[in-house]
Amino acid sequence: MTKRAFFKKNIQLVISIVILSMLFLGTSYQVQANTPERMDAFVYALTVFDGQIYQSSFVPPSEDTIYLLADIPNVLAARETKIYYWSLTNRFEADWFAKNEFIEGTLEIVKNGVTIKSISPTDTVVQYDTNFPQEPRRLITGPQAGVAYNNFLQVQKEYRDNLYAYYELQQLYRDLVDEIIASGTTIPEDQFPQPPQEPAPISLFSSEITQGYVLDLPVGQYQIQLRLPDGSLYDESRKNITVIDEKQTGISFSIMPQARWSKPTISQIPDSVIYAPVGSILYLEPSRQGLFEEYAYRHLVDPQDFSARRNQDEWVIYQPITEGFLEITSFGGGQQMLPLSGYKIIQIASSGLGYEVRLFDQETMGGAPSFRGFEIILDSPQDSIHIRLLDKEGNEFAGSRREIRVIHTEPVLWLYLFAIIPILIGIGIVFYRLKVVRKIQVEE
Amino acid sequence: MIKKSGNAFKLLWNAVIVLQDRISRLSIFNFGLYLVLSIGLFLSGLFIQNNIRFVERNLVYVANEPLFTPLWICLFLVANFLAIMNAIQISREHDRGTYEVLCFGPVDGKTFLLGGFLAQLKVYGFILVGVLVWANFISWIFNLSFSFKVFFLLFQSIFMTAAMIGLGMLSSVWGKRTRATLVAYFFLILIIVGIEIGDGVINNLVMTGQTVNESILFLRNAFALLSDGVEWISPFAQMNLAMTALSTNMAGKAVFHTGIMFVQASLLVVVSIMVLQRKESRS
Repeated sequence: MTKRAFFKKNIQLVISIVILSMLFLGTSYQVQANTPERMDAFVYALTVFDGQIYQSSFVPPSEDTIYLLADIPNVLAARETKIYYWSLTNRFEADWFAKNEFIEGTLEIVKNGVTIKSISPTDTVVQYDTNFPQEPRRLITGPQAGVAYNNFLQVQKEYRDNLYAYYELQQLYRDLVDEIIASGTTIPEDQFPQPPQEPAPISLFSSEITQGYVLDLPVGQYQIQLRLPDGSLYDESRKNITVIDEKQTGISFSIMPQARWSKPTISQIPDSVIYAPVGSILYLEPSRQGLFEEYAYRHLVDPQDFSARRNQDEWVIYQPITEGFLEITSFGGGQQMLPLSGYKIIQIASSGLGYEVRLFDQETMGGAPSFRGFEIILDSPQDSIHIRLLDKEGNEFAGSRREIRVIHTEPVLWLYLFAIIPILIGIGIVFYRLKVVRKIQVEE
Repeated sequence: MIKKSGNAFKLLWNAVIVLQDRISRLSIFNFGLYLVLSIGLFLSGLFIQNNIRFVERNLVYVANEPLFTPLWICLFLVANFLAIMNAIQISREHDRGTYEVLCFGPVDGKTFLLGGFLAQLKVYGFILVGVLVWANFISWIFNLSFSFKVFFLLFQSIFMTAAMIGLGMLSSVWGKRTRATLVAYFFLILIIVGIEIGDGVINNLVMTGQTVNESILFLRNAFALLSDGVEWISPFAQMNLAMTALSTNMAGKAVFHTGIMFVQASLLVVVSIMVLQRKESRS
């Protein structure tokens, strides 16, 4: 065999192996789908208040503790469902459509081994009205839940009827306009038929009526267990309940510099200091907030949370304040009261980017303000002002005090000049010491 | 008898004062102290400049106590330096054999260690005055807020420094030789500070990550567990907690962590004295 023939044969062999292995791999590489196995499980479906709204979640068997806010009604619904582990999010999900059975019984609240309360299931519904965004979602329980839900259905029906009537009127209006156009009649503008008014959109929203056990407990550690109608205990229903409360309440300020209104900085810690360069115009939007233990609060919102840290606190911001005054005390002692006002962002019509922040005027601008806050202009380089938020009656909101200072950005060199001084002192001391030592040697 | 023991105490105290005076002079004439202070102030300056640049770019900056972290950086460096200085001075007395000579006089292990401890604290007191002047000057130049909490922070830092000097002392009586002392001290600091820094860095990684990585979470929890254990023996961690408590207006917590630092410092001094006396009795 010639050298050339040898290489040719070997190259053919290598190519054959590569092609065969590709074919083999190709056939073994099948399309994989992520269809996790569903398992029957007992879970608690939660409707819990997070300080601002009612949120829904569920507690799979892997979690042994449920966190709730103190002195607020929360709903636990004991259910049998199908759950599966969803590896993309590393959490259990419930397949409510596959199975969703409410477990009737009595929920027992146990504290220090003693049953302190037995709760029977009741109807519950959560409703909220978008016309009053500052009001928290309402949890309605018992017979009132049915009344509230029927009221919602009635409102919904009325809206639907009004909408239907509106579409009919609109069709009639179109026909009338077509007739006018077809007849060629000239009608003065003020005598031209007016189009029908669209009904106001529905502002009331409601969940469906569901059954659940309503818990309203003071701060503390409890256990719960479900006693079935035959008197036996449902083993998987045993869970710990940790009822928490705010460690502190306060006011957070969302601070929007006029030139960066969509990039606010949040000031949450009471008595903290807000720094801004001279000439800044700041808008401060106040909101209520509460201080919670991070681990407990995040597990309250999401029982399967795994990002929270223990022994850490976090401020949780609730709804914005809609009424109040900002008391401003300047360094010289002068005082000023600013009312909470609405501001609208007006985009400037040009080829480039640009906007203006204007005081909101309902009549000329329409719609809703972009935000509600206080405008603070820092025009003096020595500005240092103290602020606190007051309600309509002039009472101070706890934790609303802040200081605003104009920071000087120019004299940065001083930072490093001052750092040299200790070295200069050190050199001086070394020379002094050398001099003293030499003097001693000379004297000797 | 009572009079005699009273005299003995007076003699011992005099010896402590004399030693303290001698060692503090040595420290004050040490150029390294001024160099470390300069480095500390330089790093603090960098931190403040970073915040100023932040204001320039973002037009607003919110801070509880803008001077706390820069001051802490500087004071931590100085406290470390003094602890190392003290440890080296103690070890050198052993290396050169001058410790044994001193012990022929009214000096014993107790007075020897206490003298060094008080000397470094005295030097730290001088440094604090300088740092206080710096903090005032900087807050005046940049119109930063200077609250009375800064005084409390400086006061708390005395206990952190005392605990760190105590740690240095323990390393020196354990290691005896200078090299062994330095290795022991840096090893301890590396463990204590490393766990704290690791905990902080990984926590930030988890918080800033959009998708939470399980392996980082495991590391985070592991570091958190280690950190929870180490914080009781670490003056560095206690100072951090005390500083956070002070800046978030939790006076009770601030006093508690200051108290822990006091206990740490006292225990370290007492244990160092006991170890030295035990070694002396053996030899």
